Amino acid sequence: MSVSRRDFVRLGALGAIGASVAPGATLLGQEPAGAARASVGARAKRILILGGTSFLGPAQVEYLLARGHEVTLFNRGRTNPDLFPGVERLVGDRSTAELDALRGREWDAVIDNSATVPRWVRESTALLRDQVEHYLYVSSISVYSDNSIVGMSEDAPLHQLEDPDTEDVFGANYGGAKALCEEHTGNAFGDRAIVVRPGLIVGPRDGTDRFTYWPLRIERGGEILAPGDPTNPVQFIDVRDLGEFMVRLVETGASGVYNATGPLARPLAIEEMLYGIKAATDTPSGFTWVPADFLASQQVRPWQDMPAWVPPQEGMEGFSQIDVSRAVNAGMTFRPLAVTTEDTLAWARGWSEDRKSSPLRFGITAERESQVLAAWHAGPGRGGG
Amino acid sequence: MEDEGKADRRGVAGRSLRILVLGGTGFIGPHQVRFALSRGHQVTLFNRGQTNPGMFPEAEELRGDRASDLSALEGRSWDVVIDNSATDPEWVERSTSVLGGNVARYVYVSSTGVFYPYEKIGLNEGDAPLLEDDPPQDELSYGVAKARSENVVRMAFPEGALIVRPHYIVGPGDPMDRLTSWILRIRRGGDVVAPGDRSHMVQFIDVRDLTEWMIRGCEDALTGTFICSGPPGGLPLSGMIYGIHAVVGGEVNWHWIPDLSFLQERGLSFAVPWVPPMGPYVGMNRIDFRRALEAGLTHRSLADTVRATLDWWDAQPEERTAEIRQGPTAEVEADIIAQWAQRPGNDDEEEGRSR
Repeated sequence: MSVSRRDFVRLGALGAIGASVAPGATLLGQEPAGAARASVGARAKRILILGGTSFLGPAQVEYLLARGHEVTLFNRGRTNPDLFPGVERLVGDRSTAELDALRGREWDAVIDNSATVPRWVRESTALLRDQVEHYLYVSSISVYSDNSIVGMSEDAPLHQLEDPDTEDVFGANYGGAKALCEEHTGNAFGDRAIVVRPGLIVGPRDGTDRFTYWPLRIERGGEILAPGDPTNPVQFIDVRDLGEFMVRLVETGASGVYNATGPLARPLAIEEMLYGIKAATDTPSGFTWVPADFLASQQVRPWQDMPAWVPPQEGMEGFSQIDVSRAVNAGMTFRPLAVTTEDTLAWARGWSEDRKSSPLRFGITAERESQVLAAWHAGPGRGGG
Repeated sequence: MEDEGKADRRGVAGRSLRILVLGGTGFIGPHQVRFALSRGHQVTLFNRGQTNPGMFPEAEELRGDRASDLSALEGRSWDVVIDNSATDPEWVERSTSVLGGNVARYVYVSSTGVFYPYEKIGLNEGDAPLLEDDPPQDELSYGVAKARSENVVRMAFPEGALIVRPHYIVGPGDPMDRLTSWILRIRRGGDVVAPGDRSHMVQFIDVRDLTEWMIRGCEDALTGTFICSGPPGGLPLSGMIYGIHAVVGGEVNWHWIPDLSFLQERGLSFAVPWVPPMGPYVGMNRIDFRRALEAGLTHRSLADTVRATLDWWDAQPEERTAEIRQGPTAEVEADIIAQWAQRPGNDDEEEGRSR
């Protein structure tokens, strides 16, 4: 049962889909937690952000600005063009190699949020290697080729792209493409390269609903389908924890590769996730735990229908048990889950009426959920609701 | 008039009531009084003047003693009296007889303790509490005393008695450190003993949810008997501690230790609201409070309770916070974890790790 690794990749691996958020989405505008100005002695830096306007970028930019850095955004000018009116914007297009706006400028660091096509990174690193001190490439834990390994450190085996020139980088090629992007970064920047491999990124502005499903579902209340065994591991990271960690890496001029997921230094049990989200809601609710094999028999898909959950079996044992100790030692911190939940719910309350009335992009529908629960309770010895 | 009373749940009540509060300066009293004043009611406090005198300058204070001197109440009238402070039925005899002709309604704060022994699951208002101790004792046990006090109120106010039976009351101001001790322990982080079975149910009610519902009940002229507990939907111990952790954050490893006699031998028999569902406690944390839900009892989120409790705790003077009044000391807890780990064949799992 469950997702095979290939299915999983096909489902739209981490970070690969829905990176954009609905235009006009509200900017939350609150000061990032702990956004103290850069400490005394830390010089304000000039930071170039490639991308920067959809999900992870805004979290970085808000934190950079709060810490007194100078920010330049480089993108096509299409996604949320009204975000950050006071910030310098350079327009270009990596898909057509329009990078001229970057020429002749210097920055202390660049954060590359927007590349999965290896050529894009080859070109941007070649151009910027003499104009920028540090290059932070935002990769993904999808680079890892063997998810059966529990406790994968940054040295675990990586996917390899069969055709290094391919620009078909989503689906099955995603992990290999990201890995090759990392390689281009390292080749150009050497020990000035920083590679961060996030797990599932969650929180306000997430356009994928891959975590948002759970806060919304639990806030709706009632009997809730909870997948698998309560101790099954899950990992995810609040977009702001991730963005802030990245900013601190470039501030300190770190180098090397970092796994970056959370919301603890150890994997979280899915029971901790669900009850943690529940704590931030006041609707009466309860969870009905339904084992993985029964869910499979009902065609309930891990990850897609039950977001954040991939049963630790059949080659996916290590998927949600990535070792993040290097990042934690380098200063990665985590907001409490209740804060992530509350901020996600507050953000979702600001959705357009259209968005609110549309089906979520991830997560089982209410109708299917009731059917599965009814089928489960109809089983021998399980009693009614 | 009933409609007026229900006019507005948040702002000022439709009609200002004259409310007499017996007690009122302990744990639940101040929350009641604050909410009643915010709703525009006139509040009179009656007590010995020993606990927190002058806490509410807007409230009239009458001095006396439930045990011996109720003269300050004579010849006065109120719309409703809230009795927070009686466990002795004789006190209630005295106060009901002094107030009988002068007060329309009598709200008595009882307890789910009336159901001891909690031998069945789903106890509700239809279950009769014991009115005698068996065998008889020199002093009535808590539950029997409360149950008899309830009856005194019902006899004296056949049309106007509101009997409220709260379960464990938690939140800011709790003098017992019940949920507080859990919150503080989890905030401290590290290796935490999670006693018993993750599916053991817990029940409790935030003092603010309880007292606000009581004041609204006064406004609505609610009468009858109501169990006040929470959270609605039910909550296992795992849900409580994971929920608290989600609010306070920080690195923590849970050590679930299911062996109750092992824990008991080391002094950890219960840690309220966790009480192992055995013997007379089988139904203690599975009491049915649907009647109060139907009568408008609402519940804050656990996150709200946790934050308010910590805000209160962190503002307390050192002499209050020096000792936490429930739960094992750090040394005892560390010993429990170490000794459990040494037992052959145990499965001290650290949650979320499959090692």
